[in-house]
Amino acid sequence: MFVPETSDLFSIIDDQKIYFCSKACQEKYTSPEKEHRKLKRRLTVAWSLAIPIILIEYLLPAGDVLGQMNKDLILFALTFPVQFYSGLGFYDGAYHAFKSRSGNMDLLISIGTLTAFIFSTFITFFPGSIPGSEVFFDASAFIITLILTGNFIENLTKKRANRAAQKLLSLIPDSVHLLKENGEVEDVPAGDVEEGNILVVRAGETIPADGVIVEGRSDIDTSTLTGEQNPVLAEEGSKVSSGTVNLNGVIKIRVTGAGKNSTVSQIYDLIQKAASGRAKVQRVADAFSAIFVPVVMALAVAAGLFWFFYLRSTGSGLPVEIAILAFVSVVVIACPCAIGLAGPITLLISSNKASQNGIIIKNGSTLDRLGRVNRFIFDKTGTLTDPDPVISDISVADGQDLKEVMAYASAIEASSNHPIAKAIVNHAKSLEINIPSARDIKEHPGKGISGTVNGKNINITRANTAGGSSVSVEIDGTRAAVISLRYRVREDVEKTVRYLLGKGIKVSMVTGDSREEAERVAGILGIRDIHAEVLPSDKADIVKEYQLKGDYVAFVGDGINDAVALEVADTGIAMGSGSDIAQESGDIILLRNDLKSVVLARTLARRTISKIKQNIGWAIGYNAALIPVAGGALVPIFGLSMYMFLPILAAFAMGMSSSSVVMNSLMLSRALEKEWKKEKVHL
Amino acid sequence: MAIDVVCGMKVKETTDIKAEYSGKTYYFCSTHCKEEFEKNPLKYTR
Repeated sequence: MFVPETSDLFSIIDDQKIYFCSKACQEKYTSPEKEHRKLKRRLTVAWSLAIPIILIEYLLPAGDVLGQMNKDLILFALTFPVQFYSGLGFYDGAYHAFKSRSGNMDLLISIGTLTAFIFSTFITFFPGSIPGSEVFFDASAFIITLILTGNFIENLTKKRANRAAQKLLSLIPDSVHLLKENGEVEDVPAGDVEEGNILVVRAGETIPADGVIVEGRSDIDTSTLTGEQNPVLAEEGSKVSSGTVNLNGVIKIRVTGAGKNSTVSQIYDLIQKAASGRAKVQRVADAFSAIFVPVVMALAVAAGLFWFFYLRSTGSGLPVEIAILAFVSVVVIACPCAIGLAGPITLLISSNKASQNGIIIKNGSTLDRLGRVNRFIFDKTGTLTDPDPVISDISVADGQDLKEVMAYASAIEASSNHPIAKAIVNHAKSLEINIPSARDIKEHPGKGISGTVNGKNINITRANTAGGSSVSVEIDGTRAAVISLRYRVREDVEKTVRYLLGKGIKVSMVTGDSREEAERVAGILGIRDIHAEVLPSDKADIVKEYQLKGDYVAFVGDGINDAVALEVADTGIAMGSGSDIAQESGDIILLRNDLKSVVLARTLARRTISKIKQNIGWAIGYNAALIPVAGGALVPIFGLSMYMFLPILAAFAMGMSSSSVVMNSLMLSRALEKEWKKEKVHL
Repeated sequence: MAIDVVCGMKVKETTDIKAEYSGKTYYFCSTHCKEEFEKNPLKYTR
């Protein structure tokens, strides 16, 4: 909710000043469990007193055993704890609002209930001073009780909405197996782990920190982080993430990120931060809230004065009492809590839902822009195609054995970091070829690599071709094989691109590769707008050119290498390599190596923005419609007696308004499931 | 009171952290937001 920075209700968390609209909001954020328990206590006290209050008020006739004054005293005594213990949170927040010269929900509730309470107390101790007036302790008691109940429900549903994020935190085990320098393994608390530590992770255990495998190999289940169902093979040198599950082999990892620096923690923080983003439409709500409280106070006073003078002039009786009740009703019914809640709760639910599908939204304000995107620009290598080339064909010369040639080739290539070298070595491994050792390795930059294996001279020449590379392997001077490699277009990319094109969305491709290769890939995918042979530094300029023409552009690329283009685009979508989320640029990070998430993210953005608009519209409309009722618009129909319970009804309506916004937002989750299911059929 | 177009926060117009674009002045809550803005002002002003 909008809070002026003159407020002193703030906390410093992670070097950031975060402001709060009320004491309750602050406590909710900083120590939710404690706040929840406090709320529960106050609520229990409130309800256990409110019910007797209302029973005594209405069922115990006055002229009875007790006498009017005694009855009032009992009510006073019962209401006192509700007013000053259960209602404590409101006064605290009200005080802060007052100090910063702004209005908030706490201020309104405090004014409303205190007015009712003070008036009733006055009548109790000075009976007859205001002719005909009765006490209405039930009003102030119930206002507090019902608004607290609304807060409680809101709290519970928010916890439910934040399930995905909370599940993440629960993934980290409490203790880990630390490999000490003397070779012993000791169990230590997870919180003590530091970068550089070596940890042992056994089969079935959850990996407690980000790291690199230094010994062992295993299948890793990453579904807890990304929702990806297929396990990923990891071996020495592979990076692994905290929160994933080590399936079947014992591994030792060297920690690269622990605690707050671990992927799990970073994702959790991002999900929470996304909820504090502000979509453009929320600015309407903010502007509304800013003027709200003063306007409401003015209307409440106007209503009170109106009834006072009207009733006095017509001699209908009870002018003071009705005036006060009208004032209290308007103040209470106008509580702006739902308006302030609408945006944040929707974003919270949205970002949780997204993260369950491996889509990390870094900032809620990005969703506006993503919803408007009419052009997607894809970087080619690593996004549309595999990041590294793969072997597409091996043609072996007569008299040569494929496995033997591969063994020689990979023996030499094993010492090179070239993507082609890695592809060859990987292929050999997949054919279960034993890779012999090589000597006298010489790299010839731009040409290839050579060396000696088992006494034979092996010479490897690498050449670029349209669509990939061609590698020639010579053994002792004779051409032994030609290995063809290409950058394979990733699975499902074609379906995603055609889906987008089918929706009328423009699709472009940029790449540093040759025009030929670019056109080959674009042809497979149906992309007509191609920018080839582009320098990395020019990608951002291409994005800007389209923006100047009026397009809303989403750039999809690598989080690290395409940083500038990602930042310049209206929405930057990074295909997360998952290694260090904090380093990746872009508004959205896709943890699954799956381009369909791009479509799912776009749908999420549009549905979320429309849900926020719905919620804000509902909250404002709800308030606006009920203010006249509180002011007395229905009195001609129902008579003045409706004021006897109008304050309570007002409190009920307001307690429910925030809950109804929350529940409406929960429906976003369901709606997204359904729409995604339909889309996945095409993707 | 102005609004920081990058993060949506309210900012006083007396702040030093500001930038000009297309004849208008924009105010920011922090240098981080101002830097983001300067990477592509069009993105935040349309």
